Amino acid sequence: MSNFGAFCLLLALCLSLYGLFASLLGAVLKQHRIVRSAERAAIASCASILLALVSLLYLLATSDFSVKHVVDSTSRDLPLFYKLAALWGAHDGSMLLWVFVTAVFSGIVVFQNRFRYRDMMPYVVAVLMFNLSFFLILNIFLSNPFKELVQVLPDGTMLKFSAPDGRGLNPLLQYWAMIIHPPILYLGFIGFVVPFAFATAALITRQLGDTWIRTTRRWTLVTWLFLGVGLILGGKWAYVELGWGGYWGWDPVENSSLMPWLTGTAFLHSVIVQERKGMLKVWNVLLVVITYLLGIFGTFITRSGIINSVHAFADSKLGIFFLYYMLLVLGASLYLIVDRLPYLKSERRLDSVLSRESAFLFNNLLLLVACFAVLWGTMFPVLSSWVEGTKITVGPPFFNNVGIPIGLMLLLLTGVGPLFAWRKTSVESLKKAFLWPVTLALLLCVVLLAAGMRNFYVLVSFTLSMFVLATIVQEFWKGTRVRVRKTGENFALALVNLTLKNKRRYGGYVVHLAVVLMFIGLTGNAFNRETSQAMVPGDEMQIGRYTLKMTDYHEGDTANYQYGRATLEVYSGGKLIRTMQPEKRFYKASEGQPTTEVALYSKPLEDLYVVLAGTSNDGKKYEITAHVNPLVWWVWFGAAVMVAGTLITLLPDRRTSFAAAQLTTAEAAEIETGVKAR
Amino acid sequence: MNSQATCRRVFRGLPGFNHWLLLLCLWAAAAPAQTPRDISREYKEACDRLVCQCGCNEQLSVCAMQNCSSATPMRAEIRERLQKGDTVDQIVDSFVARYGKKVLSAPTAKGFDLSAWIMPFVILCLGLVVVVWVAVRMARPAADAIEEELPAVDPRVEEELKEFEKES
Repeated sequence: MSNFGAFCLLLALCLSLYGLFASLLGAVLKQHRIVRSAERAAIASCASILLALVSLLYLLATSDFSVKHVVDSTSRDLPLFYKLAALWGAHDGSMLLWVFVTAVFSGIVVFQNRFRYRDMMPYVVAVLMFNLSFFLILNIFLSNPFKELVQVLPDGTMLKFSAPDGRGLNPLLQYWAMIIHPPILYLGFIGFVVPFAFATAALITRQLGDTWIRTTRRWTLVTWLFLGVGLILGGKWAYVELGWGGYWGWDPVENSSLMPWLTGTAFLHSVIVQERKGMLKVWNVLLVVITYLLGIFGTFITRSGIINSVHAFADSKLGIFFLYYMLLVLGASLYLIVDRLPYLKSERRLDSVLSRESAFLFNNLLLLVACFAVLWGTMFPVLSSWVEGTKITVGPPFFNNVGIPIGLMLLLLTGVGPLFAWRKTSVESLKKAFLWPVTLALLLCVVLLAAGMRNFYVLVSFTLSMFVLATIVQEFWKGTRVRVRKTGENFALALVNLTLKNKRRYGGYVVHLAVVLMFIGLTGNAFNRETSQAMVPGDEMQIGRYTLKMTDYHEGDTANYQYGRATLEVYSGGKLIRTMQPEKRFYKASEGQPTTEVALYSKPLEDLYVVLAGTSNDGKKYEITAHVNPLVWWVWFGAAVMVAGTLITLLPDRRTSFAAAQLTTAEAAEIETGVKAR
Repeated sequence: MNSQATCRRVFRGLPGFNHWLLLLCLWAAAAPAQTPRDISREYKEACDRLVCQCGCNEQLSVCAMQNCSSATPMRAEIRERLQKGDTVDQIVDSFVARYGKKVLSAPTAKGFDLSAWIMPFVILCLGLVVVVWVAVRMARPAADAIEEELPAVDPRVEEELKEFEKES
């Protein structure tokens, strides 16, 4: 089976290389049939990679320990679910997953556009196949998941052999969120290749109008959503599985996932300006190139070993190839952009600095600066070792201090941007639009100050959150009220129809609402409390309003791991509210490597987070660490709202809308601008 | 005028209002001096500022390895020195003297390290200048701009003409 898998990969490489050259040849010779054969090769390559993937899954499921990847990432006692998930548990298999997702995306693009954009498609296919070929070459020649175990005998002959058991899946990966986190993150990273392919094709064919933007907007949005969900799942995993009480540690690999998400967010905003006003064309192409390259950069960070990270794959030799690839893509893209500058001129001018277009410009600036700050902090240890010879650490204190002001400015713009009208906003209408949000925000600020809140960032964050929340509610309120008045619908129906009538706009507001909710959750970090105590059954510890009483300590054994479990009764106000059981697990296949199973009591106001940190030095007591983390619940809730908002914007358009048809142009404009039509 | 007079009457009516106000101000001024030392918060701060030296590259507050050869004694030392009355800065400085800058979880604000802190804000300022410049430049009246900036012939047509000339 391993030979079959390796053959499928080689076949896929041949097909993708054929697809690359045939599509280019077809474009140059203007031979439609050659282009078609290139497209079929792309789909066949996808099918071939699927077969390779199924082969590896079969090898993993049947515990074929003659294959190195199976030995490195599974063991006989591992449950089947984790055996299959071990596909991406080690470097070689994770590359195969990457290649598979790339091939599937390429196949979907080819199939979706088989009758559309025929001028552009040869180049789109060429870029997709170039990208796929690069990863296939790495996967086959430098990190082949079908590599078999070989023993070199003293006489130089090589003998294949099978290991008695595997090393097991990294215990930290044996958690549901971690199982789905990498594939979802890959969908996010890899998906940006599609907008990049269309942007490159648009540059080559000089069709730099809105076509490539409209074609790829949904792709970008879906990709952006996957990347966001991947980031959140990673955070959830870190929170529940690592046991240090937080969900974001500014690890280099986490950062490298955040960067394309930030530039992708910038692109999703600036693309609106190009669609509506024909402006920012160069900027949009640049953003797509940067976002795609940052996706590759994330892979480079993970697989080069250049920076220490809990996520990095050790001893990978691939780093240098990613570097060359990124330089090649960057050079070619910049050349194309410079060469096509005359075609990238703005169609319209900015009517006023006080306009939504300007707000989008500032939003893009802040997102790009945030991305730069993350990149700068991530790469600074490398820079510092070049300049000073010492590899320093750039950890959370740096990112928090630099990131918080930028994040708060972004939060402010989230509220301010939608209050500006397109083209020009009069000071009078601005005053009207700002009145309630500013009043409510200032009111909250005064209440917080009176309640004794003195932390500057917390005050600003809550005040701005209230401001943005009020602007969003105001936008929905104004639109719905107009609809109720004109159509006679009840308020709830009018609200739903308003949202469905302009899904991009109101779905976008729901995403903004999610941002506010997440900021509220992030601000809760300022109030985190933590305490540790060595305990025996019968002992009590106090944290915040909770009293934790240890009632039991129990050790047990499963096929996969041994565990120690503490039982703690949680009292609040003298009343028993919960029993919590934090665990320490020792996975057998991983030589007893301990992992933490956090006990969590999560409520909207605060989380009680209890960890069994280990035994005391004399082995007679159990070290219990308890955290009270306020408002964390809002981070996960905000993430769910963000998914909902994005899905609203992705809903397909209905050709007719029963109530919308009754609205006049002036009434639609009233909803659009929030100013009553005269 | 009337309301001011009423206010004065009400306050005058309160027993010893001025004394209470004075006491409140004195209490507020004295409050920070009376706040007991929050050792657990200082311990958390020190652990956040230092990196475990076992190779995990995590802050002391994050390294979750059981009985870690580096984090466990470092944490014990921090706890002990805080109990003795040392400040967080003194403790951090002593660890830097022992391990070098690599023990810190963030760059210092000196020498080359300073650039880590200021560069994002330099880029922000430069970006602001560029965005404002672009906005002002783009906001010029469209009428003058069109003649200056748009090529006389559509670039695509121009390109095709060039190709035609080559072929002929």
